[in-house]
Amino acid sequence: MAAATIVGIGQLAAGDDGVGLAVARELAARGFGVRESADASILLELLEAGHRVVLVDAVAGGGPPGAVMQLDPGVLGTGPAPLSSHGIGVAQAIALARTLYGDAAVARLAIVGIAIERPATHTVGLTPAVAAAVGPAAALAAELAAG
Amino acid sequence: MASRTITVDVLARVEGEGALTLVLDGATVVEAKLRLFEPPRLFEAMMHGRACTEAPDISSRICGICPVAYQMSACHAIEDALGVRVGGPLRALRRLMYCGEWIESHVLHMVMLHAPDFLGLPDSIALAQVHPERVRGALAIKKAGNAIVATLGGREIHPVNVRVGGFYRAPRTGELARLLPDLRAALDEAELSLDWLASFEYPELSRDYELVALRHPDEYPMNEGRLVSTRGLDITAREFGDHIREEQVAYTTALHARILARGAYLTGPLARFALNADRLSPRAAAAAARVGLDPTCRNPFRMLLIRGVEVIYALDEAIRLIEGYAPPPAPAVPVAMRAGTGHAITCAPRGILYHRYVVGDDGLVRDAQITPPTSQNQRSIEDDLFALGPMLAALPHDVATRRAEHAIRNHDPCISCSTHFLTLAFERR
Repeated sequence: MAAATIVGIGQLAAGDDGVGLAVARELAARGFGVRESADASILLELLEAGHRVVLVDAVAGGGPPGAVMQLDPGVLGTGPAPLSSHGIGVAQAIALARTLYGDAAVARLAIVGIAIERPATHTVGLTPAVAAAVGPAAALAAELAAG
Repeated sequence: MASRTITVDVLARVEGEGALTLVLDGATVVEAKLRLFEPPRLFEAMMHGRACTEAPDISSRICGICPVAYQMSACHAIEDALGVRVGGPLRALRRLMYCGEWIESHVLHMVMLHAPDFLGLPDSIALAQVHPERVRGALAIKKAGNAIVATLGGREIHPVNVRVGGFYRAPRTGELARLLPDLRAALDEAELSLDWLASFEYPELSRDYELVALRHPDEYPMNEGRLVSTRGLDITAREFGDHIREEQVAYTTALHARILARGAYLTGPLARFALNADRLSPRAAAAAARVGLDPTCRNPFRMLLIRGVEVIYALDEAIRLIEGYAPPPAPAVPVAMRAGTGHAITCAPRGILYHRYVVGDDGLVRDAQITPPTSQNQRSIEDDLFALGPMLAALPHDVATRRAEHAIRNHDPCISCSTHFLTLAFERR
């Protein structure tokens, strides 16, 4: 099976919100196929084209900062997420993919979440707990990408 | 009629974070406060003491949706300070990159964020259920725009290939030619998209704005031109601060800009089109005429259509630039450090973006000013809400609230580029 595309989502200038991009860049340096995006519409392009995708993003409310988890695309809320309204969100992109391309497209998606306390605004760089999670998150994303 | 207050704590489907308080006394809006949380000011401080050649990369982090605009204004302003001129194929490549950003930013806003307002739908998911072919089409157009930015910028967000003086690497002819099939298909799709948008019902509103945009001698403006208005403003970027001031307002972190002589003004697609319709390509001009747009339009709701026309223009222009491309002899012109102050205005999708830098003889930034389009438009957005008072008063509360949000989204406000995290919803069994 072809290796999945890793997608890092985040905002570099929002502190820990940039962790998805940090993980993606770590994996890019190790030779993985990586895409970066400020919003989740990139998922639609990849899922429509039949790619397997491993999405890496920061998660608020998912545990102590730095906790790494695999998320089921089916349990993400689709309502308007507080504070996050930049382009289209991940949950919205998943719902759109299901509507436009069917359940099979969403079945090709895996999600790695890294818990953060709250995205700091106007800050470049990760807090120590979240920075320490980049390695374990990259390892989980690599395992999922290998299938 | 009773007094009532419309409150929106978090505006959805605008870029970033914002909140609105609107107080109606009968049919009169007595208070309209749009609270924005805007990061460019902190980036101005971040620039101090950094090498001026770093300004494009630092400022591109302000926005994940319009990083090209920030890079372009920064490059042009630093080049103005250093006395550097960029022309020929390098200039064309910058314009091509801007086309890519207009395409992706406009399409995301038009179809995914704003069209649901016109159709009474809650979001793009509901839209995809009713009009899947239009959503698929929009995603294909956006992909063609993304591909331009990724090819020239080196990656899709926070492009790394742009530098003062040009680029780190210029693309080969074949790399750009590969983009053409998708751009041509996107152009046909954009025509269909515009006709679909034209079938919407547009609320009646005509506003007496002072419209402000760049104007170039022979191009629809992107990277350069004089700053002109519908009331006689006609200045260079260097004169921006002599005519336009920013002021602190208590309830928002964003500054409000005003023209010293007259007050509020509006920048963005409505202004660009009103002042530059004669600079559109024949295909884009024909599209505008087909959907009944002319430069006298002052209805902010119809800006959706103008964005549709600008997408057609940007695709048309991108194809023209690629077909005429010959690689430059070098990817950048030489840049020598000297002390100076540089100014530039370029056209972000949402409106004009002004940058000013004071550079020391050591090449370090001594002072920086970044005036983004949304802070320039904020006062006019609030004035739109005042003008909508009678319409809002006649609507049930929930419909009025949605209409007020719809009116704000007319301006595609890029409030900040702050956060993007997931919200978890667990179903317990």
